[in-house]
Amino acid sequence: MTILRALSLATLALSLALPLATGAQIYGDYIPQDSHKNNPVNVYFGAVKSKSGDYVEGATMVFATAMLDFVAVTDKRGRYRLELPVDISPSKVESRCSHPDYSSSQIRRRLPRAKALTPVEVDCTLS
Amino acid sequence: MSVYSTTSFHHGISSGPVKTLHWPAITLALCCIYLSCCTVTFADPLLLAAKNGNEDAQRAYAWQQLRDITQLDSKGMPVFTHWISELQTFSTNPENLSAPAFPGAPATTDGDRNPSGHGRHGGPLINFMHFNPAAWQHIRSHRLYDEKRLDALAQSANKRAIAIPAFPQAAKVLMTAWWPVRKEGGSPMPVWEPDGAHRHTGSNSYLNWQRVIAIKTAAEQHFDRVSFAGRVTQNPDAAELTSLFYLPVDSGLANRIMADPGFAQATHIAIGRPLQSGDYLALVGVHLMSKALPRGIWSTFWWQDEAPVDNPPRENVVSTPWNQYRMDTTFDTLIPAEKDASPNICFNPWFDATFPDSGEGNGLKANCMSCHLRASFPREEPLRITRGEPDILRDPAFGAGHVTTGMIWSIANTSRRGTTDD
Repeated sequence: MTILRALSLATLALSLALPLATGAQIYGDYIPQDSHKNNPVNVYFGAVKSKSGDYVEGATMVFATAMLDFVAVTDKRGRYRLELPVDISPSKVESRCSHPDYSSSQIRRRLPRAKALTPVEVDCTLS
Repeated sequence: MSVYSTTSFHHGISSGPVKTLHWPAITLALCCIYLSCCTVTFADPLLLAAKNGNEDAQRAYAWQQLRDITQLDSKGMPVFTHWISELQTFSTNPENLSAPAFPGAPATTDGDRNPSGHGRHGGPLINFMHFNPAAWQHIRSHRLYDEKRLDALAQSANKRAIAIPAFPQAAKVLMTAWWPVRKEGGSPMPVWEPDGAHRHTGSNSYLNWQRVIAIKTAAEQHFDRVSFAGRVTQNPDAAELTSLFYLPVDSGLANRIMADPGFAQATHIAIGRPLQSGDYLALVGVHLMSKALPRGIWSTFWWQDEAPVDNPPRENVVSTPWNQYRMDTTFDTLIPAEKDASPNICFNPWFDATFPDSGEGNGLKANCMSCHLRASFPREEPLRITRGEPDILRDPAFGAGHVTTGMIWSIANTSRRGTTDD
């Protein structure tokens, strides 16, 4: 039973992480060409909402590491998906969020369970 | 034909047979020498400035270059806005040859072209390439837009890379970077600070520039804060849009920008929504390469709200808004050397600061000329950041099966071939 529950949770997480087959994802999962070609990746995904609970389109999610900045923009459903190199530990990634129409943000991050490395869920609330 | 004759001119102290010079023949000979060497003669002051590493002379020339390309036409637009877009220059699709006017359509409109590498790491960049008529004519007449032609040239390079035919001295190529501004004003814009806190080896893309200002579209506007790239700046400095060169956006341009995934993402990062008719594109970065010298003269400009006092004063050369841009230039891969005697550095924060260290320093330690010397087809590690002289013996970009593309990566971007392990 526990195994089945774990599997269903993993399936749910993966379904959230995989790109949606809609045009709305055109910005949310834009990944610069050639990046991470043939390399394993760590998927970052999540959503940006306003304080009233509405999803925010066009919000910027920045994931800053010691060497690089990775950036995603939320789609029409307020969601984003991004791939980072798998060798960057999530604990060494600074997450930030903003939108020009909002003045503050709060980040919530959920790391993968147990020994899993991916995916990492980072959600943001703007106010 | 002898230039000597027995009449008219005597060598005063000659003890041998008296030789006299035949002036018409000398004149003809000098004309021949002049014509055969006219390229060198023409560029002599530039060669001297390059050879001596004369920074003042180089900077003065770079400002003159900017003045020349920003001369206004009868409609009040700079002459460079008549240059030919990347799409028109390289496309093999006849529909694209009559592409929209300046700044053109994104290069990726043609599915066979790679986007520029200058927005690859960190924040994406809205950038366009522009070719003056001499550069365009050279590329089209030598079919350098044609992958098959480049392939044939590359395959004939048995031992070392061969070069495309040399560009004429009049050829100029421009790369421009644009920042979206909302019509209602208050758009955030990051501003490069040379002495700011930067990553020493990593990327310094605009996403992590510490200073963010607000762009006003009306003088009386005031903004309490701007939010950008996950940070909020309270009571930001503000600059008027008119302090930059800018383009009004119509629906056609908005649609073209938003059709490119990278450009669309850059727009959302800047203004939080798609570009619309009535918005603006502000020119934040300019990279100009002139072929006046064989390796080109590289001048790069970026907008700054607080332009420093320059020597020689830029106000004597360029007027508003161009005097609001900072500039760096390089005539050589090595000189003038840096304070630590290392090779010359020349970079543009918008185009180059984003590059992380690939073994020889990050984008803040790059030299335009050194990186662009590596431009070859098929592409080899196009984002390897370097300065100084290239390693032509070990770098595959200069090896067999390659054709060097006159220091212009756009020619190599014609194909999706080549390594892209950047």
